[in-house]
Amino acid sequence: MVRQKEIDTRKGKLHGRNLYLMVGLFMTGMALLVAIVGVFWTPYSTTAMSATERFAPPSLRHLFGTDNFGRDIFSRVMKGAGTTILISGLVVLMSGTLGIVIGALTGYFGGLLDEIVMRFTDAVNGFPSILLALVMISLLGSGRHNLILSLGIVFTPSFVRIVRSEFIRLRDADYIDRARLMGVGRMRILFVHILPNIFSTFWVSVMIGFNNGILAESGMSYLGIGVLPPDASLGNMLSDAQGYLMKAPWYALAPGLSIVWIVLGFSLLSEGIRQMEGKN
Amino acid sequence: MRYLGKKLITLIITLFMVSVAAFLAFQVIPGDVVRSILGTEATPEREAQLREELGFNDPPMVRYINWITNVLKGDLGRSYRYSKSMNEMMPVTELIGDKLPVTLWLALLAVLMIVVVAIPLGVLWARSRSHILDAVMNVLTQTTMAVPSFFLGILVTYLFGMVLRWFTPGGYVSYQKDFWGFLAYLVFPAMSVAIPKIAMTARFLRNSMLTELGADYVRTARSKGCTEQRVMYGHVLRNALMPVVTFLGMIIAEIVAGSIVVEQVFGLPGVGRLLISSISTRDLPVVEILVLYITAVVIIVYFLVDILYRMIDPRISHK
Amino acid sequence: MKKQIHVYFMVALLIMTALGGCAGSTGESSEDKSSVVVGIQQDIDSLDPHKATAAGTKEILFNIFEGLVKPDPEGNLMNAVADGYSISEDGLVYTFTLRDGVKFHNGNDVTAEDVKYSLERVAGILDGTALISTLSAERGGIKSVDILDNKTVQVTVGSANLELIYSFTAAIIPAGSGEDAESAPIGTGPFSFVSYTPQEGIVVAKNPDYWQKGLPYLDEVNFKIVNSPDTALLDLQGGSIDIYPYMTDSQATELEGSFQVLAAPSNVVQALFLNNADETLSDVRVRQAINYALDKDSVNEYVFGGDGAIISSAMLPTLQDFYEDLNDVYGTGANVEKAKELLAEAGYSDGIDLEIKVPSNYEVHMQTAEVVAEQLKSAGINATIVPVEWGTWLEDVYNGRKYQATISGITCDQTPGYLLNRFQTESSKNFINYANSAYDETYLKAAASLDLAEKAVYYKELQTMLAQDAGTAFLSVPPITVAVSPKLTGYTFYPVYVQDMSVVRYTD
Repeated sequence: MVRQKEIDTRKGKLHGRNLYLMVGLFMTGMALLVAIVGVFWTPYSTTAMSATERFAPPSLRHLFGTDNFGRDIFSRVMKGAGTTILISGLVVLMSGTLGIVIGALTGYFGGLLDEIVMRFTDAVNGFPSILLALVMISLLGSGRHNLILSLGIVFTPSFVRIVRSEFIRLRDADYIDRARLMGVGRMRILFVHILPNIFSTFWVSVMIGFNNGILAESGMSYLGIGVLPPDASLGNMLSDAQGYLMKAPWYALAPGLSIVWIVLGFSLLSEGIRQMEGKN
Repeated sequence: MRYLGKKLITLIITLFMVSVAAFLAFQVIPGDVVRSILGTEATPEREAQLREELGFNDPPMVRYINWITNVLKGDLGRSYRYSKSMNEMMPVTELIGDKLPVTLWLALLAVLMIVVVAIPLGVLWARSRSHILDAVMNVLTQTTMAVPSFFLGILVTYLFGMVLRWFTPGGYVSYQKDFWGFLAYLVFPAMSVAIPKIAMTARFLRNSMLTELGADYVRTARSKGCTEQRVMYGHVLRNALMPVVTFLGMIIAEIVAGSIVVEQVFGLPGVGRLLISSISTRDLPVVEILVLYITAVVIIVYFLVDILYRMIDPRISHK
Repeated sequence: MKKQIHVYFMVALLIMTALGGCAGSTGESSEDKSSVVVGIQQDIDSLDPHKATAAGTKEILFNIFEGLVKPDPEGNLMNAVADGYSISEDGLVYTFTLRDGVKFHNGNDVTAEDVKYSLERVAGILDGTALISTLSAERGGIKSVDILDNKTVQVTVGSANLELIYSFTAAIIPAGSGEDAESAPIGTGPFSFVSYTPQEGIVVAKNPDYWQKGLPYLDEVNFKIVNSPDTALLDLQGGSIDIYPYMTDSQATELEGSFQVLAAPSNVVQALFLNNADETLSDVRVRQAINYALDKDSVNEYVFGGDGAIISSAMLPTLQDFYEDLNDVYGTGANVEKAKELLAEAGYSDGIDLEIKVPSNYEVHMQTAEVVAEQLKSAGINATIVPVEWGTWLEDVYNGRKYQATISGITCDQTPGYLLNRFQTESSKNFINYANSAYDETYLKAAASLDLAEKAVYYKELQTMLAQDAGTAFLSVPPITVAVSPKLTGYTFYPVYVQDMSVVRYTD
């Protein structure tokens, strides 16, 4: 029993507090705050160039230094983080919504439609996501909107699977049977009776999806097919910075560590939420 | 066996669907292939000639059937972009055959690193009762998992290539020329691929072992007087490793297909970079075969892992 | 435990099988051979010297193939496969005498048959498809090639043109080799073809029979494709490449001291090309406003470290006899007031939107676009950059002409007329849709002129028209900056885009 208790503590929290949740909240909070402020205000213009201040190392004047055009890296990271978070958010919004609708319908009703959709999602799931997004981007052309669309489509199947399995689990639950007997409409059962009950599961996959979105966006922008210059995104900043690694290592570190910060924040947060759910 | 048969059929159907999709997708892709090949010196006559040569005047349906019959016969076609001699284009088989070892060796090295580091690490972690070690490992693995592989690649380049000078960034040597030099260079990209996966695998194994430790049979084994060593390695680890095998299978598939970005960072001429450059130059025969190939690898690896899993754990086949 | 080992074994086996057949052989040492690695940016587009169109391919094939004549470092032509030629007074008949003892890389002597075959091939006399447009039989190029004796070839052309001789740099290849499926590229140049590996590069070896005695110095040259222009610097510093001809300014400053950094003007005219057929840009005042709004000095400073030559029309300053300095027309700095004024006159006092499509594979153009967009902003021109792939650029911009503005470069193939030719209203290369009948007339006069001095006068007039009409916003002639290992010497610049490796050698 002692052993069991020990395992519990180690899987859970230290000294009764949910550290994951706290640190996760702090990190994501900071990231979001900086990104949101960045939409309205940045210390310098993100595109203004300065011939005299090229490759300035980090200082009080330029917190993260300046790049090859003398642009303020901190300002660009603020904007870039905003872009990255926004894109990832929209991707999750799109694929999450599609996932709920398709997953609910196929999970609840089953049948031929379910069979077809499942074969399809199996096929897409078997396919490496970055490759699929790459192929889609080359079809649609690069740029921010197409990036969101491609990643949105690529991420949908995983949400469909989760929602579908939850709906299958819940469709035969007693309270649903009762609702059905009481003559509640199908749509109402689907979206009022079942949907709210899957949110705890769904929430965690949203967080994971969001992180995958950030990694995918920055990866694609790094390859030069996502967000395009002069717009800043953490990925395309990194690709520019690679050439100046020797001369200005801070140029690569600033956007790179920002990605790590955001992704880490969200995974800690989702870990924390999972533990909170577990406690209840 | 019926299950496997069904799986096999799904596998074939998926591959067929992907072949159609890959072919059709690249028929509607913007950017004219012929013009892209001829560049700024294109004349209408040369365009017409090339269009005829490449068979672009046939309807897509006819072209698909021609293409897939040839592929099934083993003739994968020729690249539009890369020459073999003055008048011959490079056969796709040769082109991919040349690049494949690079990606596969990268994957192999990475998987080796993962297995060698992650499994002992996971076991150690699960066995340790130190809160501090636990916390450190927790933070370390969470952080490592949050680093995108291309950023890790850049960091590795900076640290080992520029500060420590253990390797020459961009100094890739072909495996045909100097095999050991080739492997030595691959260690660094493989490291960039492996590090986040090591963290994932170690976490996964540790959690899986903790779950096993809580199982009834462990208590039974202990009460029977089994040594702690025997409980750990004879029972717990063995059972805990099973899901890890599946996990590793997924990782292999992911590396083979997803090393695109790391190949870009380190300038490795593997299939990932070939795919990117083929897409941007509209080298359709190469793109189609690569897409098909990568899908096949992923599906087949999953399939094999599935079989393996069933062989180790007979319980599953009854479900 | 046994089962576990089994699992490992299976996984390993699975991977091994997949890796099948890729045993590596150890490389032989090449210490007693002098070899050099040259970094190149792009994969080659063809091994056929007549079909290759990319500048990045031609600069390499220059080492393998030669024409009857070939360019020299001073910008003149020197005899190569031919050891002399004469042009008839009416400019319609060219008679070439072949040099004695020129051998192909396969050991065969170059014959008049080979020359006839090569010229007929590029002119499209063989199969109706011309491979080099200036020599095209259908466009006033080569009409017929006659063998007078086994050392003399007479070429009759459709129309007289002083600049046509430059096109006889077209490679001479063995008769029939252009149709032979298996043939490796065979020429008469200082180096012979050894191997080509897609995405890795091309290797050439010394031609021991080369007709210029003593050349080349090196035994082997490996043209190696670098990962990305960004990482070339690391390759140089790490020693994996010895020569890299496409340095950016900031890379160059970092190498100073450890490498020889050589710079020379290129043969490229870089511009913010404006589509004259676009609704907004069809107004000459708008185009002029854009010219005024640009700060060409600072573009040059940011992108080329001030080493580019600022221009205002389509001519290279290095072609001194033909060049007209028009930088005073709009000035080289920004004149925002004047730009705003012109925009207001044209009815756009609130500014305009401008979409600039840029071929994203060209780092220099992408960087220029970022600077230009920022400059235009201050004059009320809201520029957006749309990076496109090279294939799409050719389709939409160059051939389709569906665009507003683009940043790109046009290359001058040694003949000054080549740069001006394309701006004739009906030219298939007039992708900016420039239309000026006076220009067309003057160009025809220039082309027909058989007197160089007269030709130069016409060419200067053409440049002036192009600048005053603000046909496009010319920026600069970018420099070529080459990094050469301190162990090497002899690297020579050409006014055309070639990498002549035959004169490069190790210092003792």
